[in-house]
Amino acid sequence: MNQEIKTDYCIVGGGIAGIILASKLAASGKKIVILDQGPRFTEQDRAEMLVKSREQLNDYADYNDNVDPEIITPLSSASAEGQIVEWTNYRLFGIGGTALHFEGIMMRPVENDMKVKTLYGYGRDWPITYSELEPWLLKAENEVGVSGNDDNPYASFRSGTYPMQGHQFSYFDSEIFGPALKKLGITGHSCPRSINSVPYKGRSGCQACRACKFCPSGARYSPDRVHVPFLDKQANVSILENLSVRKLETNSKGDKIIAAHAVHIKDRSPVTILAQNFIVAMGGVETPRMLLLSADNGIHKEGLGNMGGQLGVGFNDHDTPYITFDVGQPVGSRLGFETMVSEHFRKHSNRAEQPTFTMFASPAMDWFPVGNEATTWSIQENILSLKNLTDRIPNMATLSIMTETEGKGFLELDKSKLDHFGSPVAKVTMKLTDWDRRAQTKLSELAPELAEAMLAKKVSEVTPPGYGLGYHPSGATAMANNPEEGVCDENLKVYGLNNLYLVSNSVFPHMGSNPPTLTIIALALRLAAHFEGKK
Amino acid sequence: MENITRRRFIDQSTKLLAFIPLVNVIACISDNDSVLSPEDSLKKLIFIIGPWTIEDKPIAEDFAKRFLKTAHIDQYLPNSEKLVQGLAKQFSNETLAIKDIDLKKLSESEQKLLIDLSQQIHSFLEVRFYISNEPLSGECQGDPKWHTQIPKKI
Repeated sequence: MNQEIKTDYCIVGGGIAGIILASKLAASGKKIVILDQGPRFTEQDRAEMLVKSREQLNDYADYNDNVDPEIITPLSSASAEGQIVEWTNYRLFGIGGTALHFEGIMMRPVENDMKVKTLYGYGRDWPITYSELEPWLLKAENEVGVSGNDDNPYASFRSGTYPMQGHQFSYFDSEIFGPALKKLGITGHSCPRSINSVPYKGRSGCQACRACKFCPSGARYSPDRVHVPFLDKQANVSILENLSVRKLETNSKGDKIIAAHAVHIKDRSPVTILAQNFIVAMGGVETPRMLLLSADNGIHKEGLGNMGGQLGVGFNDHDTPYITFDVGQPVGSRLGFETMVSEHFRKHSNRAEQPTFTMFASPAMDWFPVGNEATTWSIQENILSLKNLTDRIPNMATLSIMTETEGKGFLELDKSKLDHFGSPVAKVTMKLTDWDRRAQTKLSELAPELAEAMLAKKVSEVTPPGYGLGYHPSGATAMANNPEEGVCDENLKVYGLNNLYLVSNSVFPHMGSNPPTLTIIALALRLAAHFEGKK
Repeated sequence: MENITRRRFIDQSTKLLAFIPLVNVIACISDNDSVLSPEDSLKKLIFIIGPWTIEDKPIAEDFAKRFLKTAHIDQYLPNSEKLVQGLAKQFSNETLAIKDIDLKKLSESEQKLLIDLSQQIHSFLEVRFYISNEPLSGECQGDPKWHTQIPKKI
């Protein structure tokens, strides 16, 4: 039997964008339904994952280990010049979405990121300026609680202070990394994060547990710990997990969505959601895929909002190469995340010639296998010195960079590969251009200079040689001034459809060398204000 | 007649591995390792390569036990016995502990196995934290400034 749900707002996707949008709309009293094909995760799940990571020696234990990826997270076939990009490795389906396990980096775009086409001739311009976005970025920082200091000389202007001070620099940052940067004329500064440096809105300050993915203390923002409990108390809001939306149905004129058709994951029983407004908030891969899967026989036969042929175009992600140092002295302890970063090369790059990038350094970060270099460097003349190896490990540090890329990727449906419900999965083709690769060239040049400035004993080659990790897929349903250039307008309304909106990093026309989360939250807040006529 | 050294005595007693309490010393091997199963050979390799001191033998054993349950072992198990035997040839009965391994005395495949295993073991957070005297991941320190402290000499 087909279940029918009537609501004012139907939000497809229970990640950070959908959850925060619903939180802001809740006060209107209108009915809101949030749907997600993943489950709800509990504090018990978190505790069990932490135990499991130890018992199973799995430093990468994660929330979605126990769900069937073929059902919950349909595999996208992805390639980057012959190499596979593991998109399913990092994105997370479920109430809270990828923000359940993210690193909480809350950097802003810089002003010029939003007009790269006009200024430098690559990528696409945003239809709104940094000045228009900035107040929403500030609201977003307050919404989730961002710690940071106003010490970044490379940042674009901000109209207010962070809601709390930044985390104190680590020993490594203040005594080794920061001074080395200074020798090269680079300033290291605080890294804004949604990890409390002090207690904030009922949540603890950081307790240095060094397991940030699970954050035992609750200091890191996670939707399920802040906004989901709020929504659960609202009589006009329903959060429905394990419900997979398969298609959005257009009316006969093709100017409106009349229903979202979904199925329960467990028994495939159908559910139809009728709403005044539909918002797709499914992240960088599933949002464009949903618009493609919802093609009709009329003006949207190539996918919703695709009359200009822009759906799937401009797919983008960051490239994150890294290098490893033997600093030659103990680098000290850490909180589990970097306390100092540098956005020097976001400002001081000739962007017509080379991408911008942000530098992150840390004592042996969780996700970089420094045992490789430590072992290799402890072999001299065919002798593996185990003492040398043990002495070396505490001296290891890594430097990674998050690089801007031009956005030459493409997302389409892979009709040769169907998901559990018989729908084609997303096929992503990444194209790193020669311009993209120049950031790695710059890192290769910078590495020995930085090593010398740190008095490091060893520095590795750049790893990996050229491909992203699938952390920040974006750009395949871009905002634009007209349907010939993008899929949705500056208010995130899909072209040609009067009641379909998008909110995710898929709407970014271009992504700078900053993680996208703060901008996603800002767009969600801005969209809520648009619905309420407050923008 | 068998020359029973202290090392051999311990080795035979434990049927697993002898830890010798030297500074920065980890493990030793014996020439009767041919009796070991692939699993015990791999355990022995982990002890040899890993950073644990004799005082922390229970920690090493706990680690090895968990490592043996992971999928990582698939690439190491088939050749672990051979590698332990190969390593045994490098050390006489008078050699009490391994600080250096002469890779030239191992076949190319044995060298690769040994290096891969070392890279694998020293990439685990738990092992890196052990070496750096850092509490386990997930153990909250309750001190948001602990990362600012001057590191103690390891």
